[in-house]
Amino acid sequence: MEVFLRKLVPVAMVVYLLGTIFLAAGQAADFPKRKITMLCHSSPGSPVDLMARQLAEPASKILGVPVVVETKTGGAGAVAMAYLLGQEADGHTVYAMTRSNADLFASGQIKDFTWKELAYLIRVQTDPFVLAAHPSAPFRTAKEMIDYAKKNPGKVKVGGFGSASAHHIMAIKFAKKAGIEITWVPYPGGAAAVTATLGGHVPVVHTNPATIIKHVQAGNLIPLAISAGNRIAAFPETLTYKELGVALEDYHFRGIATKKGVPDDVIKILHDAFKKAMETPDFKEYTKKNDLLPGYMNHEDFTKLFGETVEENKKIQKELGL
Amino acid sequence: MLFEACHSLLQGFSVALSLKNLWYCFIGVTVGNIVGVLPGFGPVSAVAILIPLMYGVEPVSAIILLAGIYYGAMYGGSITSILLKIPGESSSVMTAIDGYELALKGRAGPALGISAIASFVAGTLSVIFLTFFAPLLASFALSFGAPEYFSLMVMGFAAVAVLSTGDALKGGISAVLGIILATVGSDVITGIPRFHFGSIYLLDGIDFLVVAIGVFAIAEVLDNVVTKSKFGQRLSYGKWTNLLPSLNDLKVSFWPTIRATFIGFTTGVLPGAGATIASFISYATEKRVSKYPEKFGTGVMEAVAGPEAANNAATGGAMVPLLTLGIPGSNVTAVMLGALMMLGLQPGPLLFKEHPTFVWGFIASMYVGNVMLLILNIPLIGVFVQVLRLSFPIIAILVLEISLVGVYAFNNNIFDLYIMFVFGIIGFLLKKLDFPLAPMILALVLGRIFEEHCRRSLIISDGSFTIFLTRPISLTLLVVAVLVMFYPMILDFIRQHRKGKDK
Repeated sequence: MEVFLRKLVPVAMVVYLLGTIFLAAGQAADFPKRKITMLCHSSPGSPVDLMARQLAEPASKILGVPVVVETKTGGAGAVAMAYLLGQEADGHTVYAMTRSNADLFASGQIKDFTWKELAYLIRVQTDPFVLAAHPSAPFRTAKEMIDYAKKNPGKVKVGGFGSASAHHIMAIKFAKKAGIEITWVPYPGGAAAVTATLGGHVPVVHTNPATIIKHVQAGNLIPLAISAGNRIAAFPETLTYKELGVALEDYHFRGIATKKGVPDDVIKILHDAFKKAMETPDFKEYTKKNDLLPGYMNHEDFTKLFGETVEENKKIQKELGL
Repeated sequence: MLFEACHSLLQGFSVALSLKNLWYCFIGVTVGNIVGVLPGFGPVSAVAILIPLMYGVEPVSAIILLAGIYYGAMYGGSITSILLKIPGESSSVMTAIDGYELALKGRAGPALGISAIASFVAGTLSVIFLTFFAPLLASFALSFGAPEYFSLMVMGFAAVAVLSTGDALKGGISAVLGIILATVGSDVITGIPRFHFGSIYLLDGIDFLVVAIGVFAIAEVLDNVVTKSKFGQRLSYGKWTNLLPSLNDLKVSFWPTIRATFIGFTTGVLPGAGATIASFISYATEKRVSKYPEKFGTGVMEAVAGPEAANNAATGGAMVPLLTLGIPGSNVTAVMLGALMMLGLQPGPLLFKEHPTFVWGFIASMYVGNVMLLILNIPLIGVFVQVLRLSFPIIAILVLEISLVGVYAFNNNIFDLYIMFVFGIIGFLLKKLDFPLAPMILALVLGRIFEEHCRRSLIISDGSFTIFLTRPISLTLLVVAVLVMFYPMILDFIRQHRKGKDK
């Protein structure tokens, strides 16, 4: 009996091992297995954090597992990305990112990995840029600002988030195409820049619409021009860059990425789940309320767009001498 | 206008005193008190974690809870600072200096009591200011541009000079060390990383709370290991009344609390200045006006009352730009703003007009919350001081454990723990060599903001330094800074001059 048992043990082990292998193979498409962590590098309450949380709620229901937003600040997203790349490529860790990540890659500050090591799952929303002025500024419209800047090169100070950031680069692009010279005043965040312009310390701010809507309604800021292709509902009278004769249409964007190497079928499951989450009434309501633009883009297109943005930023940063 | 405010406030109370909102307020202040105790895990993370649970909750109830966490944390922050020298929040760093010394003298109970009472008085006064002056102060909040912040930081450095005890040279070296540390990380003006040695974890610079916990808590444990513990000597409390502040404690704390309320509230109103800097300025002020400045740092009650009052008053102040302009004045209010937007309410300049029940219900709840916190904290003193009865090995493990968990929770980052331990060792060595540590920490906080605003001002002025002198607020602050620095010398000069005349 004892001998029999002793012989049985290895047999049982082999059977068990084979069984798990077969089961595992059968479960490959059986995703998700456990909770999904959605990393976010921006502080809670920021636009991308809000997007992540708005998306996580319906996505949890669709995927049937909790989708938990985890804040991992540091290095403008470098720390969150390093953490993501340290996880298994199984799709259980995703990352709520923005166009600013492209700036970071373009800046060459990250030496340990490149933008190609991430998989850009889905673009969720776009957000136009807007130029707005303090009422005490010597101009009330974008046209007047351009004329003023032409007469006083470099005298127009424009405040906004960061240096060599999406906001900075877009402002420089605008100035170039409009044939003017501006002086960029960097702030650590969009809200700080808006505050400085509200106080009249910097005459113009370059930001996203949601941060200034209330101030425009109260008459404390004047929206000058918007980077979207069409005028937006919040500022129906504000001209687009194109209407001004500045051939430029561009957006800030936010989306979801994961680690490259996640199996294609898992990428599809995640992409479809987030797409479905974007179509829920609650998410649409949030998009409308915050004057964001729905910006769905699939995995392939988003990856292409992100790569192009990195390359373009590299060029502009070189031109700026940054 | 006064009458109008009173009337609105009464209506606000009818909202705040509903059973449901009392419950939200209670949860908020209790959670706040608890997260305040844990270092690193501060009100920002607590508010962020609770945001998803706020779905479907009425906006006013949600903000009552979230704000409760904010000012509740200011009460809790002093507990570990006083008992274990672990600053629970960045704004409790100053409390740790004298509070802990008081605990070593067996006066932990009174120190905790004074901290709770000063917090209550300042918290309540700041809500009164908020009630009556919020709309007037909105323009004050906006009057600070880069040059004004620069001059405010100069004033902060003047306060650092005041803070250095003993050897002025050693104090100076400590401050310079802090400024050097402040240069680590991405430069906000150009975006170029400095002194990060290729590590992405240093791109954001060195966080001063992590450094503070290192040089205070970890260094203290190391010191106790090396020099045979001081713990165990401070356990004889005698009667339970010794746990409460004496009449004299209350007397010496009165004016510091009042002064700190003004300092804290005004600093709180300014977006980006905040509770931490308010507590520094308050400490320096108290030391300046004190009859025995040399005793600061060895355990005086004023040095607990002042900073604790200041950080509470700052929370009331921080609500001014949030409610009147929709501008977040601090990290916590930024998160609260995000939460409100999520609930479909966009705070802005029209909030008072568009949603009066929301605003006034919320303001009224802050009165209620402060009372709750006082009632909650005083009886708990007896419980908390029991921690000090533990023997040193257990206390040491407790300190290490709270520090480790707290610092990790700060950014969910192991790297912060390395920094904490490195600074624990540095702090221990500096202490053994009699270097004061507070100047280093203060300079680390101020250095970065100082440089940033200086360079931003120069961009705005096209490189001209006169911008700091031609703007009235900036000039005033610079003059005050010079006075603070040279006050004793000026006083001496006047005295000698008079003596000369008498002859």
